[in-house]
Amino acid sequence: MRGLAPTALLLLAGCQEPFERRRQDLGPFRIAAVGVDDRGVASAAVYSGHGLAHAEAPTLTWSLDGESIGDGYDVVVPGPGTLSLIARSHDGFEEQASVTVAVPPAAPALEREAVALDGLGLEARRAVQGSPVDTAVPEGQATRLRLVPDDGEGLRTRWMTVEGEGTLLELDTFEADVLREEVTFDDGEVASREDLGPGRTSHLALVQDGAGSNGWWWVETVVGQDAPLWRHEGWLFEGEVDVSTGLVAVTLLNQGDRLFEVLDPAPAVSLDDGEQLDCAIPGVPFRIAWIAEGRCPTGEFHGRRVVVSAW
Amino acid sequence: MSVLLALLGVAVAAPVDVVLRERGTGDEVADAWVLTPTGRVDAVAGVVHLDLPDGTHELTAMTPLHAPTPFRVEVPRDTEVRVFLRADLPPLEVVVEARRPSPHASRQILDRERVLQTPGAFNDPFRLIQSLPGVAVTREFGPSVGQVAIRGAAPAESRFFVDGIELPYLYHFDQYASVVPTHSLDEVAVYPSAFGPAYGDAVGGIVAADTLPAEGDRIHGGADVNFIMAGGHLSVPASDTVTVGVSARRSYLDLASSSNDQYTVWPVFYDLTGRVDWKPTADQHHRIVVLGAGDSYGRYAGDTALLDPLEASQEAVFDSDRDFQAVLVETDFRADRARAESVVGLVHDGWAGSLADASQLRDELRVSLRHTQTLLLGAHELVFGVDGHQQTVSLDVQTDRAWPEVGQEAPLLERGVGLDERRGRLHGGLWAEPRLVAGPATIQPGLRLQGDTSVTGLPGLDPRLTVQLAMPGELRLRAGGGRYHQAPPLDAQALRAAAGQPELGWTRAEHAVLGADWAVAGRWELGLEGWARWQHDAVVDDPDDGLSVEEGRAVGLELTSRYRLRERFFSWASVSLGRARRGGQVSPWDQPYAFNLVTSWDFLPGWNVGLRWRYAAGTPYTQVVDGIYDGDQDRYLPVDGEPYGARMADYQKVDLHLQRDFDLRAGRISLYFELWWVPAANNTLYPVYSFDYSEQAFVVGPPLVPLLGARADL
Repeated sequence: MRGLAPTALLLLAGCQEPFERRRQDLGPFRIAAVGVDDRGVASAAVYSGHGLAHAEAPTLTWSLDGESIGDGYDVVVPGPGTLSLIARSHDGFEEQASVTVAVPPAAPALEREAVALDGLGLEARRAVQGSPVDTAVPEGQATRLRLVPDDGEGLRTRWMTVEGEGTLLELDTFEADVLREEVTFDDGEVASREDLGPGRTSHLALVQDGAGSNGWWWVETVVGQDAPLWRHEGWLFEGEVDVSTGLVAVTLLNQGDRLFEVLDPAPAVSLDDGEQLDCAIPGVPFRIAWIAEGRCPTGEFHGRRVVVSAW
Repeated sequence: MSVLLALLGVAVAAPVDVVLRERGTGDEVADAWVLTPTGRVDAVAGVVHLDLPDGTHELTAMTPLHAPTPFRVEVPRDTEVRVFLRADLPPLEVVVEARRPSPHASRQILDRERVLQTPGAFNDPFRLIQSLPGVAVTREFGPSVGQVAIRGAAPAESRFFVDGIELPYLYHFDQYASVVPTHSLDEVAVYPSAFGPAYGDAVGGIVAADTLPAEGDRIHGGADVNFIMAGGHLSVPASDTVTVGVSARRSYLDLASSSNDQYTVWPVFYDLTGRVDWKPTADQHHRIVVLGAGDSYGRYAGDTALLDPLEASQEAVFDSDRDFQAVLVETDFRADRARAESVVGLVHDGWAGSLADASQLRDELRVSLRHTQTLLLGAHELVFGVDGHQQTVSLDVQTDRAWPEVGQEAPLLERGVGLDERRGRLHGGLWAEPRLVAGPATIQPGLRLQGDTSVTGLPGLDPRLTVQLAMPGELRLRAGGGRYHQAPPLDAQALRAAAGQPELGWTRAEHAVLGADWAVAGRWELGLEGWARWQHDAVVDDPDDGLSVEEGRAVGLELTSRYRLRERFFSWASVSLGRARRGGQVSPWDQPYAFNLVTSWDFLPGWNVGLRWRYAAGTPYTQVVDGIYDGDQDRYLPVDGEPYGARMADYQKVDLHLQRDFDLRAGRISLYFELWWVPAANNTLYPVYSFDYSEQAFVVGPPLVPLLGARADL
């Protein structure tokens, strides 16, 4: 309660209803991350405000030190400076961001563990050892996510969670526990816990050095899922598929709670086993993150078959 | 033998001393006597010497001001008889404040009696200042509750003196009880504008408090406790001419709890005073006054309430520690045709605020002098004086970013400007003011010359004028005006220099007041006063935009009503109307209307009830209308709307006070209960914003606060 008078504390006075929006939640339309990718292209993770897909791609307007450098998702940043972004949603929301131009951090490895948590306090969770898992964790347990960067010196992680899917509690700089529960804190104490049952949670992990070097990755956890799962970056999808080639062809549909579904996985040997979408970057496997971040809106991917990387 | 004499019917008189004392204080009573069956025997120095025959005697102790007190004496006896008399209710004495002469055209006075019995003031005279007309009503528990904004002037544009010496801060945490306890203060005078040349280096108003001399022929002491702090005071006569007094207070909630989700170190404060008063003759009074105070706490820089445990544990912790020490040496001389008052003060203020990798250290040493000489020339007076101070400020700010989270407590960290600088200045003023009496008129033309080594340019030359006119029917007219200069703070000069900006010059102002006081039927006082202030090159402090200077103006009208029966009843009410603008926009201290009502009534012996009601327009604030995402830090930076374009809701607060006094033989214990009520619609303290500044909410204070306290005077 910033600025609250010590007098108020002495009298145990002063209160405020919590805000509906929290930094940790992916709720309304928002620029969740911004930076320059390893190609030197201006990049942003724009959350739709409705779910993990955009009905229409947001309009991105970029400038460098106040000078316009272009619109959209493939704007090359010509040099150092302060990169500014105005993102407009199709339904009228506008957000602004700025970031120092810097080289992004290398992608960290991702590890998962199943943990049975008794208490949610920091020390209590740190005392619990997890069991490594590849994908889902059993019902009643939490997922411990661990990013393993090559060099984590000076980096920190900022986690965000799609609103209503669960609760993420940070454990350390690169570790967090994910519960399929809605946990409410009040003055540092657990006020309520609501079990959401088996299901999926989606998160954005932003790794940054505080000086503009930003990298972000989508990470999912699944609780209580017996069916086989396969992995694409940090995403988890249902289906039994041979991922030995590192490529899987899937059909993308605009349906379901998350606004998109990935169906009919099949092994692929080359990008020619799928279609080239207009919104996609040519010559590289399709990334589901492009859906979540607004690059590929529902109209462009619905019913299309693409090749994604997998393991 | 006595039996034998008794048998013979011969009465034998035995000497008996009856010592008469005031019940509740133990003080000697004056003009006392004892009524015996044979007549009245007067007391000498509070003692009645009686010669009574053996046996039981029913006697009565009396004075003109006490209730007759019957008592029984068994004779013979070896010891004196002590009788304690309870004072009668005081005579109905109407007090008309306006009859008190004032050297300034505009003045408000607060004395101990009114302070002690006014609800919601924490027994604190400085807190009561905000119930005076023209002083901005601030919101209890809000960050600005302790700021005294007089007639639209910023708090820093007014000066606050104790015995003529400026203290570094008035309130613990800049919000709570004043750093000088009530029982150490005699009265507080507020000169809201158009004050005479005795005061300078201020373009706002003046608050001048006088400490209470330690005096008396016996040991006095007392204690005061409420649920936040406890303290005591003691006064000891060291000789016929020297009295020593000490007092101390400390908050104590830190003893029961050490931290919570907001504070890592529970707030704790203390203050202490010590004094030695020497009165070698009736015309001389010399004293040494020592004052000190300290405030400290540790808190999370941000709001940890909504953070998960790791985030909360990583939240920056801000430790604040501030204290000051002051030594004042004062002398007063009075002769038939002259008076001289001098004070020299040495004040040290240490102020440290630190985070893990940022800190602000501010150290100030100030040596002050004030001398006032009054020459009585028949009905006229010539008053002149000199004042000045040598101020040295050391600033050491280590930070690599701005910390708006701690701006309230560490303004230098808020800016994020690294500094390692030591600055000093010598400020001095010379002034003179003839006080000429011409029939019913008093005319006081004054002139003040002041210079400051930190300001380039010519010294300030301030002509001032006060005219008072006594009209028939207890009507008094007052008018005053003048020019005023104020040197910019050394901190501001240092920040300007760090920003590569030219240093600031004088802030100037012109004041004008026109008022009238009318004692209706000699008892009910009505006052009406209009005032105006024009400011030039006023320092505007904006953490985002730096320091700048702007023009400003303020006008207002105040209507006051007072009625007072000494030690029985008082009531005052005021309506203040005013507007203040600065730099072409609303001033942050603009309060278009304010209403104050204070009343206190001793409705039965030993019982007092009081009421205070304040209603005022909310002060303006700058609303944050949007946020820009800072991708480097993953946080949002606020986008301000129109400066001071939004206004807090109207504020009102009702305070009730009920007190019961229990007189002991040599002392008094007072128990009091207070109830504070702020209606829900007026209970907002300050705005807060969601992480992305898309939502605004208001922190609200407690609607109902009950308080219990006790006070003992022995």
